[in-house]
Amino acid sequence: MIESTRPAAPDALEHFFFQVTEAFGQAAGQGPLLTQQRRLAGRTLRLEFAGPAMQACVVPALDHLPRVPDAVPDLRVCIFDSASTGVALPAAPWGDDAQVARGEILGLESSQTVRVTLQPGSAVLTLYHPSSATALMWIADARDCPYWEAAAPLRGLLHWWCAAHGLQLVHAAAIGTADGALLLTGKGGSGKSTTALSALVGGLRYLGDDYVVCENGAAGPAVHSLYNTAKVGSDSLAMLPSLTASGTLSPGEGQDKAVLYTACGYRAQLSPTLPLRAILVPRITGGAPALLPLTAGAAFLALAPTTLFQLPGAGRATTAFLRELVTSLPCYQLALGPDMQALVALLKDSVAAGR
Amino acid sequence: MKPEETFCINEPGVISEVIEGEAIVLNFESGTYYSLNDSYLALWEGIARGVPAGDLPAHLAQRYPGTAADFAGDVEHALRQLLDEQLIRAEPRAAADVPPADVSNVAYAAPVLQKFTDLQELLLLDPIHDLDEVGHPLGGG
Repeated sequence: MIESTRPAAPDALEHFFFQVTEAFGQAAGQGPLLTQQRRLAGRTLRLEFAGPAMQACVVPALDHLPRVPDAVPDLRVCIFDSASTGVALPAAPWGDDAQVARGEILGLESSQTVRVTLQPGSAVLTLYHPSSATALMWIADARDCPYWEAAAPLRGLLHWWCAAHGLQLVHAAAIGTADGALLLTGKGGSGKSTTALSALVGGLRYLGDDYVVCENGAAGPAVHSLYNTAKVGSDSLAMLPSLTASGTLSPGEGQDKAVLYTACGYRAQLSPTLPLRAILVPRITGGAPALLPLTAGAAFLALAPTTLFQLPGAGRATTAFLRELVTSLPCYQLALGPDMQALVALLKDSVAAGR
Repeated sequence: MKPEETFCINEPGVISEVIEGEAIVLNFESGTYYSLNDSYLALWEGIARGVPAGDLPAHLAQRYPGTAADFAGDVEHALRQLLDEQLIRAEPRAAADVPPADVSNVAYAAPVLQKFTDLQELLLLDPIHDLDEVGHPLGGG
């Protein structure tokens, strides 16, 4: 990949990780250590907060995941900010000329001991230390955590962690019934979110709108819910007025989309895991909704670039995973029109038919 | 372009996948991705196996009806396009034992590289803005 002008040595990164771990310990000593454990993709995620400030940045999007207080954690994430705890972050081992793409600090991607993610725009730093199954999340001031970061918290970190456990974070929506799920993928404006929200309003099961976790298991592909959030544009609001009536939507200042936390109001429809039945690539045609056969290559073209170009370090392993996914499931183009009721009926029939 | 010149896929920044005869190429340096038609895929695979530029027309002639001379212009155009897009780079390679290309079950059409740029913004390089004196980001919003 691109060479950094000043790469940090991997051992310097591990040293930094341990320094930040110590800083978290100091921060946690300033106030209450708040913990919770959630079931994610069949594994246990333990969240530790140094005080309450960061909870609003992380918990709401994950609040639908089952609580498992007594399980042995598979990943421990230590979360703090400097503003509320008064604990500064140790000096970073990269230079002030560092560049970021996909959340990666270029030049650091060769480190296998510590995975670093720095989200451009939000300035949220995460460090993942696979050998100790421990991660850290830090931001200067929790009050600066942008809405879109709170809608999909820990995204880069969870990508690294999933990859280490045979799972794959995928940029897609997933909806379905008790019999199985449909993966919806496509570029912005394709109708992916509107389809997912129509399914939600229409009473179908919901696993996610933007990012979900997929697994190519022995029993066949499955999808796991990650976030309960849905980013809702004005076009979707116009087509689905009941969303507005739910009272949970209010685009804040500077937000181009409202964020719907489906755990508020739709909790009964949220599924943690479902077997995958098909991949659908929506396309707005204006006519009656319909499923049209799609080649695995075309489905890969819709799914892979938008996933790979957003996730830090995604490369060969991710393309291989997605290749297996699209070749093991039937793929369809989903022709979309304005009839949401007909769409929901089609989606239900698709799951029932095993496609 | 010299007939003996060989090339390689510009890895690791470029990744390709062939799925049931359809090829997709991803360029992680630019955020651009491409789909290749059948003849372009045949060329791509020949290039990846180290077939010299001068032998690529004959490589196509194994797959489609026609002589090497029939395909020379299309090969020249495709090679320049792939170099311009930085999907391949010139690299001296030892003579490869390249198996003959499979005979295609589709009619020949000139190589077409369909280019998609709609996701480029996802890969734009960002300086880490507003670093403090010890390399920390100062906050987003």
